[in-house]
Amino acid sequence: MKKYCLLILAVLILLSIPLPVMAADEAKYNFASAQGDKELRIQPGNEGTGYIYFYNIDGNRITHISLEVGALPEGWNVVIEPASGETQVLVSGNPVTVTENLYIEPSQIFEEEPQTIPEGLVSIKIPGRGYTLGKAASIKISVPKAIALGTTGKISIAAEAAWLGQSGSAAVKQARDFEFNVTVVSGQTEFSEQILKPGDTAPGNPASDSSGEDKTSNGWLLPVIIGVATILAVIVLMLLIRRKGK
Amino acid sequence: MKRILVSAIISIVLLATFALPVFAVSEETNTTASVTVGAIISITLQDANNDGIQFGTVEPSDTEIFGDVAQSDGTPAIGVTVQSETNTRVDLNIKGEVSGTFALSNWKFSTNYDQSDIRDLTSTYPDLPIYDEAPAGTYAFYQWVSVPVGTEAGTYTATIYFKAEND
Repeated sequence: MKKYCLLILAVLILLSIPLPVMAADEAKYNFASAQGDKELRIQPGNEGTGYIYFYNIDGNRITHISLEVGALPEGWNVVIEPASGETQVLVSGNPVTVTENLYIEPSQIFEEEPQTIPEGLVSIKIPGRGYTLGKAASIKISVPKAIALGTTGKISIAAEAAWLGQSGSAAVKQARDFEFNVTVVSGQTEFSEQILKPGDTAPGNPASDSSGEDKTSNGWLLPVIIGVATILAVIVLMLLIRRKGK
Repeated sequence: MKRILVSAIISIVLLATFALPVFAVSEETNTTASVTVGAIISITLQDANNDGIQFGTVEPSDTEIFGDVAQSDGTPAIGVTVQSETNTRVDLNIKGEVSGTFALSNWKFSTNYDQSDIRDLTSTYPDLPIYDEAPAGTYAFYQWVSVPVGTEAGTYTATIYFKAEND
């Protein structure tokens, strides 16, 4: 009888254990990104910054992310921050060195935007789901000084996400490319519009006069008007003097 | 008479001085409204049975193809989930990388458990993605390996890359 009681007790205890606890912690490798404005406008000789935000709300492993410049126009320069570096990680008690730009720990979803954001993290809005905390990578793009206004360039950033502690014959990773479209613009903040006639070149274009003078299509008009006005004034003055003399 | 002439001169000079700026001023009457929505992509890889892609110990064979020990019909070795917040259609693609003598062509995958569309892993992403413009949902990648007769005893490994390509 005692044996039966113990058996029933054991079965009851076993049944009371919640299912998720019984199940092994299924590995979920999440790589989530939100790209900021991909259209950038940069002045010749200046720098512009694009942003990529990373988060991890559907994974249960730390996502290790490496970023590198895939493609960029000749003469342009791109700096990724944070830069690639070594991170020391303890994986099941074993120290491992990972080369990466940043790592994203699993985080939770908040209904409202968190008021306090720990240093190094950013708040990211996830449409339809809420907010979470993640990290930002900045892509600093420098454009050469001697470049024509209106020039466009594509910058490609290749990202690779990896997870440690994978067993088995094959490890899985994720890859993703991020593109930024850059347009070279003038520093002029006020709006102006001017039709260029065939043969005219835009200011700042290396093909134009290197003097840097702003040669507009009707630049000859003002000197002509002033000239005519001056001649008229001289004629009138001469007439006046002549009359006085008489 | 003298006054009229002086006034005329001043008028001409003033006209000449201000003519251009007056003509250059023009006001824009239309405005452009724009809003930019950044691309959000969230992809989760789920490993069946949490044991990695595992083929166990196999006997070389020229006919048999071995599957991940945890996969079964409806449960792929790797399930790729396009999360609901992903706001752009992504193409899902796959490639492999090996080091050593065991050729990459021995590593295979399929989207159907019955191997009807089984293919070798390649070192570059196929031109045609495996899943084209995949909306939110989970997509199956069954994993297989062939071990030809004559393969030396040993443990062989590979890295499998899953790429979400934004159109």
